[in-house]
Amino acid sequence: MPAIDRTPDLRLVGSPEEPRDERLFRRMFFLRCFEEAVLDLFSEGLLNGTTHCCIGQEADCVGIAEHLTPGDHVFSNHRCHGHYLAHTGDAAGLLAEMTGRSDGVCGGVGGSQHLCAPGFKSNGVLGGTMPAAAGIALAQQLRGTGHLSVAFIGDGTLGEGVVYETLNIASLWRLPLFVVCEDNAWSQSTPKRLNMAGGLRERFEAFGIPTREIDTTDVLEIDHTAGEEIAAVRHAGSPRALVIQTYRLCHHSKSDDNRPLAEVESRWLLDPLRVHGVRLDGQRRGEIESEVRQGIGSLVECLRRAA
Amino acid sequence: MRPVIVPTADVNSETCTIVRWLSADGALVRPDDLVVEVETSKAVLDVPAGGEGLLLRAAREGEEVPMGGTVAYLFPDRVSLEEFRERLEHERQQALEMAAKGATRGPRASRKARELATRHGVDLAALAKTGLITTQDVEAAIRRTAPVDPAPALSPLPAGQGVERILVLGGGLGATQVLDILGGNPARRAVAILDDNRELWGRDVGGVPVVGGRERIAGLYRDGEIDAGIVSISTSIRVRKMFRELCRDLGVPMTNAIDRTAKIGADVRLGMGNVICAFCHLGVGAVVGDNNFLSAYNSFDHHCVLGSDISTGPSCVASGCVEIGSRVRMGTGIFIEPYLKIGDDVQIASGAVILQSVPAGHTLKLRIGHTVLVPPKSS
Amino acid sequence: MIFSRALGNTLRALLERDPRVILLGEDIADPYGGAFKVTRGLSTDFPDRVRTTPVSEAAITGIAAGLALEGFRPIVEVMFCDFTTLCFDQVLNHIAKYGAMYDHQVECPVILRTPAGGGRGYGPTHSQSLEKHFLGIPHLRVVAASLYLDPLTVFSQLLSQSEPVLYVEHKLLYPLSMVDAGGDDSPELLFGLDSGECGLPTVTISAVPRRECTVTVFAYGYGAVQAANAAWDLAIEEEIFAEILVPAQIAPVDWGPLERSVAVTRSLVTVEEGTAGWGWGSEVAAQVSRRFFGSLRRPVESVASARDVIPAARHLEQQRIPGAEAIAQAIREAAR
Repeated sequence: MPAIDRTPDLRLVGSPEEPRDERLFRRMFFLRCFEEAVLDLFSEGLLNGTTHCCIGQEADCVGIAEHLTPGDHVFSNHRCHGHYLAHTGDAAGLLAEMTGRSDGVCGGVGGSQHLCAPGFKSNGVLGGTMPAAAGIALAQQLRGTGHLSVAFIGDGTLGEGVVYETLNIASLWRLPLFVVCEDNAWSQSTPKRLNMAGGLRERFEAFGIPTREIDTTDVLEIDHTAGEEIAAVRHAGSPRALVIQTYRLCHHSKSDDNRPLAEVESRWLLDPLRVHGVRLDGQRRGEIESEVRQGIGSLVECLRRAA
Repeated sequence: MRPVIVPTADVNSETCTIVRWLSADGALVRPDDLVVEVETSKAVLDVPAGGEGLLLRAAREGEEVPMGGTVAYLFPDRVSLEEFRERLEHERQQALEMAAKGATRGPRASRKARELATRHGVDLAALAKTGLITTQDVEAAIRRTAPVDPAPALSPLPAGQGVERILVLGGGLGATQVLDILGGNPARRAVAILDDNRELWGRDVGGVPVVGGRERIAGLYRDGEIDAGIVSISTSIRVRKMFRELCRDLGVPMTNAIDRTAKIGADVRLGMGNVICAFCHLGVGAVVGDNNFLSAYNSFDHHCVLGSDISTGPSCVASGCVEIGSRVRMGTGIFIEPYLKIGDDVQIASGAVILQSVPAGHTLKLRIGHTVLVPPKSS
Repeated sequence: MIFSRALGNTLRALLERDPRVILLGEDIADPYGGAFKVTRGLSTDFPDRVRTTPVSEAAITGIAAGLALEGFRPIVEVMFCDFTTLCFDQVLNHIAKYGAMYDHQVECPVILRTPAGGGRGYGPTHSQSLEKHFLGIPHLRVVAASLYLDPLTVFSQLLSQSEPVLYVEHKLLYPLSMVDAGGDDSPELLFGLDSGECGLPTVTISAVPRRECTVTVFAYGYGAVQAANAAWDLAIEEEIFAEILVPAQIAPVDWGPLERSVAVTRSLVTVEEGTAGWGWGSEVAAQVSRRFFGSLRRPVESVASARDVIPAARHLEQQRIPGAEAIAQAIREAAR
């Protein structure tokens, strides 16, 4: 089996010189194409196990990643492909991991939900990643590096008690922790109204953690807000939270979606690719889409040949 | 002087343990200063001084003190503290001396070993040993010291002119078998038994006296009181061999004891020192070494070859031409197919049916239940 | 020196010589210094690195995980072993998994210390020995405190390797004096050290040399102290000779030292304070029975607590947890 090339493909991640509008679109489209390829490979039987795609939530991943620097750390969850790809650009490593290859991100042991790279980890047990992210923030504080630790959680994770234990300590010890809560309104198959009492942002604010809440799938708005919030964490060296009201346009894992069809369809109007895509010149957008498709296509082809 | 007392808030505990001192000996403390940490069955408590003064500790860390007991004293000045300390020290010294007189500190030994040593006048302090001295150690010491105290009063039985006087080595149940074999033969007589167990000395087995331990072999032969020896012990190959070698080294000949019901075939070559019990069979042309103990109903068929220092249980049966090495230990009811070779130092479990040769040093165990059901042939 | 002080001194030495060491735990700061006073004085001298925490066992364990992933060597005090259940997800699904799950790109060498065991009348939720639930977790080492091995030796070894550790401290050991296994203050018993294969040694204790012993006793924690006392009394009074093996690491078991003893004695008793069955003794019995099939004189005997809650009342508590006489009786039977 020939080794795969894990150097980030500029067709997927874009170059620093590329206009920001275009690069943000390119990176969101990269995440989308990757997830669609993953679902195709599952239906072909080439992938083993399960996966949780982030179709519809790409703007969160890309907007946050814009503001992280080497030395910062991201702790993600079961729905981690987008966070990982936005952070590392390592599509080849992730796809190799999911196909169980020894040159995958974790040698095929971790699979879809358990990824690790410099400055990035994810784990599939909800909530349990929060204190680890806080511990990493404590390490950064003790070393005085000025870096921060990001924890991606969802609305469902707010059912876990350890989240609140961690928020309390993070605030008490003024840890450089940035909590991003992607509220996609559904935890697996259960709507928020059956899961959550009381307010959402109040849960962070109760511990004295400054919290912004934005209801958007617009990558520019997320990019802008994340920039301000992350700068504030770096400046104060203490925790902040960002709640993003978003929506998952695909099923929870592979084929489990019983949400009302009308609700899902109405949310496609707010597809982040659509929201931001209209800002781009039609021809340029077509070129970007085609480059990304080629990048993903050649990667899939390479792994298909190896299989 | 004023005592510092452990408060008795914890009614469940009768005592507490001093965990650590928080104030130095001689330090000036105030009423609310915590001076010592104690652990009760419920919690760890810090004990306040309860008064002002110079502190003198009255208990060591790790020591158990009663709840409500005194753990320290407080003094208004250094002079009164030092006076009290000296008095305390003096009292403790006296108590130590008393304890030293009372306790007979000596080498560590088990209760039984101590009693045995006292009975036999063994000095435990002279027994150099790593670890606790046990009865085995004391017994060994008794045996070692026995030559200087060989119980000289005990003598062998007399025997008529021309009668072979036999010394039986070992005074256990094996001796009764050897005496039974020798009984009724006017030409031979067991005149004495030796056993290293001093408890048996002066007693007799079937009318034959136990006259001492192994240290008497040489003397009895030298003084012309015995003509030959035979080992009666069947339970330990090691001891059988040891006695044979001892007799060889001392120049004491060994003799056979063969039951009159045994059938010894033509051309059988037999060594010395063998005990062959009732109804044994040695087939034609068999060769048997020295110092073997063959229990009743053994059969070693024609042209079998046996080594030395073998011990068998009853009903061991070997087919023709079997070779059995030295120091082999066999249980009861063993069958051996022809031409097989059993190596030296082999042990065979009772009930074994041996279908293949056994290499030296091996132990043959028995797994019950390996039966094979063969259906009738269809007609 | 008593055990709690030896342990406190050990933590102090580690803080002094290894800047990666961080202590976390509830109520561990001065002046209180921890429920059992082990950390007393440390927060005064190392205020940034000895941190008292809120009552949040899961979070502090997870924070330790984050520190360890970043190259620190966190040591967490869990106030009572009973509360380790609150850390269980962190230990099982996070800390013990990170190394292997991420294909050994990271290490997560968290050390959890916890006081365990009964005998103090603390009742059903403050007296348990729950380490059995952590035995067998892949990539987790479970180590038991002992009077016979200097905690500094143990912790130095633990800091020199990269696997996470649960270190169980039986509460009754805290006020007891450390035994200098090579010194003159213990002339009665013979002490030996089998360095074994796991990096941490197994201490051997007997009244007579191994060749004279007819039973091996595998014990840790306060059970080891009880077993050593029983071995001495049985040797003096009844000439029953047992060799006590006290492993520093109770899981994974370092089989070498145990095999070397059982090969001679051909009989084994295990002693633990956790509830009977599905535990340490069961696993040891299964493994030893397999390794010594056919050569043991009798089945392996396991002494453990009754499968029940631990009552607060002293007389009831004594009926549930193994006492000196239960251990002595098991040794008598197994020595035959």
